[in-house]
Amino acid sequence: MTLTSESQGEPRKGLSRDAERQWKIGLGLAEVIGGIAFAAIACYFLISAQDLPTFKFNPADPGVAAFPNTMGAILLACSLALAVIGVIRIRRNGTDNEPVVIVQPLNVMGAIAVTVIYTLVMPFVTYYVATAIWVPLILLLSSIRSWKMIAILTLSLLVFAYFVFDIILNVKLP
Amino acid sequence: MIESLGAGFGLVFNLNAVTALLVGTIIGYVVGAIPGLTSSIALAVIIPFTFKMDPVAAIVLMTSIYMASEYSGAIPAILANAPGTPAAAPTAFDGYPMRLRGEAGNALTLSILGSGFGALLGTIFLILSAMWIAKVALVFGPPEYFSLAVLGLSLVGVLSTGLFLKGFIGLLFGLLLASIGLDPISGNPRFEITTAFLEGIPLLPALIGLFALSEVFYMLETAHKKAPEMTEIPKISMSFGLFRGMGFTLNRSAIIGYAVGVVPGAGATIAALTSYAEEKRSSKNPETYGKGNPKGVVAAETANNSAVAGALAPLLTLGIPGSASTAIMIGALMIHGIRPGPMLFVDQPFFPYAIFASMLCGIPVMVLLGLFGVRLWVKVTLIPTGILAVVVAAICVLGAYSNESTMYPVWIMIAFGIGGYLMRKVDVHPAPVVLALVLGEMMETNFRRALMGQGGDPMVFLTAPISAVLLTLAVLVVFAPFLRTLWGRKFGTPKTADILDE
Repeated sequence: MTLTSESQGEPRKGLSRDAERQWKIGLGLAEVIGGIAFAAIACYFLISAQDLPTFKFNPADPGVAAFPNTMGAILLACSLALAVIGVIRIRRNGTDNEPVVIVQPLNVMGAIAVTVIYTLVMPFVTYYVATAIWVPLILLLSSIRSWKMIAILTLSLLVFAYFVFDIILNVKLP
Repeated sequence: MIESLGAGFGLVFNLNAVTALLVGTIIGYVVGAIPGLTSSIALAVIIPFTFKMDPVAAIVLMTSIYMASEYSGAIPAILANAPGTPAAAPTAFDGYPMRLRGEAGNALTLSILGSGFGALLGTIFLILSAMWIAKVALVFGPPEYFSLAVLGLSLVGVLSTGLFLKGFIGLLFGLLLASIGLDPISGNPRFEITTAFLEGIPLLPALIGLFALSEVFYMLETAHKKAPEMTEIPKISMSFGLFRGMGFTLNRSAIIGYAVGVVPGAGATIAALTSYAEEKRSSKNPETYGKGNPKGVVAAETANNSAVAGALAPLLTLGIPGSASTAIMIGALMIHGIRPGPMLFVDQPFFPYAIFASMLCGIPVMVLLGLFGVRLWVKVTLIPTGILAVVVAAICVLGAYSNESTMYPVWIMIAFGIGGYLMRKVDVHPAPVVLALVLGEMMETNFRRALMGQGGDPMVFLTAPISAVLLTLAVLVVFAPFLRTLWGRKFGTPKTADILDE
């Protein structure tokens, strides 16, 4: 995996001047990783299906485990085929060819992490408090630097959630 | 039919449905006008708002969003060469050069009125053909339903991007996820990691995660970049005289659009490309296309709006989704306790006709909003991506939570959002996963019921004529891209892409 940095043109008013960062991973390597991940999922279903009951009300019924077993076996075969395609691609083109690119990876990973933490703490601190912290953080990760805009948008979303979900749809937010 | 349509109009002419129609059209316009947002994202996010609505108003809202977003993708396509939706890409071929010539107003007028005509003719075709398809499908038993599900799932090749194997992997992954929960025949639990899994993977949070939250992560990648400039706000000419000599183009494009739209999986993008390519191929001056020929704009826009009506035909009559958006609509209907398919025309005949009536009512609304709201739609396209990302993310969380008023669906939504983002990075499109989640149970249940009814003889799927035809179609759909390539190599038939490349 490589990390590159490129400078951008003039950013829009209120946006950051961060240079564009990229994570690049060769398509072949991504396919190998993806193939292994899906193969692991297939194995989980295949192994778990061994514990399913074998009793049938009708002898002609293929049974509870037949469908997941069949799909799991085909998924395993296809995943391994994808991994092999990835290996062939790496041998032919090396690891840097046709890269899979994640632009601004720290922003994306940061947003994922912040969202997971937000979901974890929401039941303890209430939806409104958690959202009042989460929205500005996501906006900052989206390169919005205008505090006025951040404040207006955060407040608007909280008011929207209260009136539409709490009052109109009668959804009791945590 | 006339009676049923009258009853449909009766259901649509109430405050709830009319409000849904107006709101849906406005949301559709906003979503379509913003490059990056698609009807799939809007539909996934809007479902939670429909929980308290009656099913007719809910489907009116979603149909309006679907139709309006297909139109408004043309606005940024014409003004900034940045199609708001994939189906609007061929509109930009001639629409943008027209704008550079100072004819943006004419291009927008042609696209709006052409869209309205395409949607109207497509809806009429839908009304005439839907009842007929549903009547044929009424004789379906378990073997036919199994084969129908296989046909629906065979669309994986069309819905996936890049390598077919990757789309197929997404489909199998979705089918395994669909097997979580209680076994549909015996009621035995399967793969229940927690008791919450007993009811299976909840469809709504999965849809929101795969289509909307994963898109939020994509938006964050480009949030620091400038939006396309659209400072010039054109004047709409509203002259029907612009269509002089285009009668044949309008009618042919609408027919092509509907026919392509009916084919499950083909969708509005292929309809617009096919219509544009046909218009160019049959023209006496093909060299003028791509340089601002108004007929190019009309051909593309008429076809992509007619295709929306076409895509609703397999959805309503057979219960199989032809696109990512219609897969979400099926999921939404199931949440409202309505199972699309031939029985819908028997059990709740008012329902499909209410949809048809709402489409007919929605067309003038769409045209008027398009003609008089151009200033607003142009401004909408200037909203920074970062703001869109946070708004969509916040609604995703609210939507997932409101499903059961617990945190469990929120976690499912986040898991599918992250998974969907990573899958798209390696070209595994989320659409096949959704297709499998929607059709998986139908496939397994009817496969087992058919076998139990025939003493375990698997030949039942080939000896039942309709089932055999459906399975043959499924095989053809899967191999169609390969067959087309082989045909082209052998006979040198020009492909749509070749015509467009010229």
